Amino acid sequence: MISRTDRARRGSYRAVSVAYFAERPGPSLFAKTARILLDARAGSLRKKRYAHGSVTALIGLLSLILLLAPSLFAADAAEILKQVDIFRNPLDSFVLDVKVITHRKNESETATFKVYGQGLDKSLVEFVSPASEKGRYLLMLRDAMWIYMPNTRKPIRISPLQRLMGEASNGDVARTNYTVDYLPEVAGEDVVDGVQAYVLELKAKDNDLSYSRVKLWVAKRNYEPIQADFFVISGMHMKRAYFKELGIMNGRRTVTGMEIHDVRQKGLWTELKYSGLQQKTVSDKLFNKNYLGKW
Amino acid sequence: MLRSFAWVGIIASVMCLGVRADTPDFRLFGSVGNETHLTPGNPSSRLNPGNFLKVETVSNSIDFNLFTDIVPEDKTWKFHLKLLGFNNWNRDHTVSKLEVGELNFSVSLASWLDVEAGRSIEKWGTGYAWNPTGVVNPRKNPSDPNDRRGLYRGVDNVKADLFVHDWNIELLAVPEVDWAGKQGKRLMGAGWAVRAYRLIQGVDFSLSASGGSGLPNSQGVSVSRVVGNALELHAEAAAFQDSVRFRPTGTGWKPQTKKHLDLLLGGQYTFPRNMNLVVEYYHSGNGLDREEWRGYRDMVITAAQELPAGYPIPLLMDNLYYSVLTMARDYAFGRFYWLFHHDKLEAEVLALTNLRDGSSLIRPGLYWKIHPNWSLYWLQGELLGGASTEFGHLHVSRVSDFGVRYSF
Repeated sequence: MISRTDRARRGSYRAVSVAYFAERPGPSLFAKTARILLDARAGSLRKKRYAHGSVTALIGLLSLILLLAPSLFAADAAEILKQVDIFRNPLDSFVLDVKVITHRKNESETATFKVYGQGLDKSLVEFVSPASEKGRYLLMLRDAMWIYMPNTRKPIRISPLQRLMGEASNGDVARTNYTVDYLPEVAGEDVVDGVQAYVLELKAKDNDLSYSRVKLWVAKRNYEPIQADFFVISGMHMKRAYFKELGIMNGRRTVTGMEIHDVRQKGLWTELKYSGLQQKTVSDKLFNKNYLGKW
Repeated sequence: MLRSFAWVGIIASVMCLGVRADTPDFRLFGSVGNETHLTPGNPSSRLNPGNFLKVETVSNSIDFNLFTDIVPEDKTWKFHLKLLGFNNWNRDHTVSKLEVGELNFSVSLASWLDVEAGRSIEKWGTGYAWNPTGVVNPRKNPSDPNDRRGLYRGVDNVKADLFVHDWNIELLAVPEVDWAGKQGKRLMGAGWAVRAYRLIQGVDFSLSASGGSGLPNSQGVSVSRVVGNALELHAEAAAFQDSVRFRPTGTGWKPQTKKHLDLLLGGQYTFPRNMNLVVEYYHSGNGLDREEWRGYRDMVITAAQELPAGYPIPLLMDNLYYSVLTMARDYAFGRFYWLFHHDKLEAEVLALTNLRDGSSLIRPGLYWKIHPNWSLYWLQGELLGGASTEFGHLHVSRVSDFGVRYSF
């Protein structure tokens, strides 16, 4: 179901795009068809001109609809995803505390991390507790990852499938935005716990990512993320994440708590709690593999 | 020992006097462990007939390692200390040692330049069990690649780290100091090592070189790359220009200076359900070739025949020469790891094979995390191969390690 406001929003996107193409100089097919479309909408298309150019106009119109419709949806989806990312990471350069609690039946285990981030694709995770993990670092530069252990003092290149703890993969903790890695598309709408939501279909930009496909539910009223399903390249549904808590950190509304459930093994789930978000300018060299453990 | 404390004092004073910081972050962590080893002798070992070396079947080791880091909020300098100590016990004797594994002070002079002085552990290369380009690395034991007891010790060096246009260039000056010389401490010479690193199109790419006193004259390259979301591939190659070695001829040792190439090719694959496999091939141009190995074996047989006549020296010399995983040119390494039972149990199987004679070390192990800070483990090393093979020459037929470790 597409609501009236939604239709209006999409309509306005189309109108802006059509006007853009119509104003472009030069005799491009796009410009011509766009002008015809504008004229048609204004009701000023004369019968004589229509008779002469009816075939061209019809083809042009159809081409325009076919060409523009996906891009307009993509633009819409990209904007929604950008808003979602702002809730997950509202700062360009930051430091953040993350607590990961793994639940298994009646047991739970806690680990804490400090995450340093810069831009959209650089993050460094410092292992704070438990004691057996202290002194370790995980560096993530887009899809490249290294783990550093104080005992061996060696950064080791690892693949995205290697886990951090519980059901949280390295990427779940280190990665704070989707825009860099995924191409979004609005797949439809849904209602989750009484909240109207867009359903975004995210496709991985390359095969190196842990999840080739993500289905993301986003609240229509404010673009807050609600939940996400993660699929591996074989199409298998691996995890479901719930963005449970949103709160104020560093004066901005952000995701402060999420849960990740293993859909194949019931009773296994991991909580991620975020706190202490601070704007912090972090030196570039901190994100160099060879600098791990040197500060 | 006193010298170590003096170092700590000097560096702490420098920190207090020379560098201002609002709230330095103080990190202290480490572990304490105990291991009991069962090492029954290898009755067919030609290097130890009748257990004349008196290899103990039971021994115990206690160890600790303590890491201290002091880093200010702005991360413009860092003090780092790794203290390690151990006590090795067997029926005949006990050895205790306290060592400074690392002690260094680094300062960031500019956003693109860091300088460090002191003792530090360097780990160059991308290989898991071997690192041909790791000319300044602590000597690695491929049967314990992760240094489970944290006993690695660094090299004394002065280092500059440059960060220029996504490149990291590391320059090391490594003084060769005779700390315990009869005429007191003296500088015997200095070696140098340099490494340039950059991530290029998702590939970790490093070029390295070394030379001077105490370090080999070498040039190397190492790469690693992740393909897809589960496979990692890595490789290293290093050319050594003037390695000095003693070549066994069958009747004696012949000194030789030679050029050689060391090569490592490997990969790591992560399976679903926390299973991981590492496989590596290693070629050492400095290892013994078939003829040299035959010569060495002949010398051992001759020396063993002289032992009953009261001449142990030749066999002791052969024992000194023998160093496992250096007696051939081609080796394979495999490691299978599985984390299971709610992340409480870790199973690991290591395999090291001499590709010339097929002799192997297979070492399954089980780690049980009984608490986030406590773990128990059992490692069982089995040696496979006949008396004439490389692993068949080892003094022990199997190694069982039972350990407990507490992290703090």
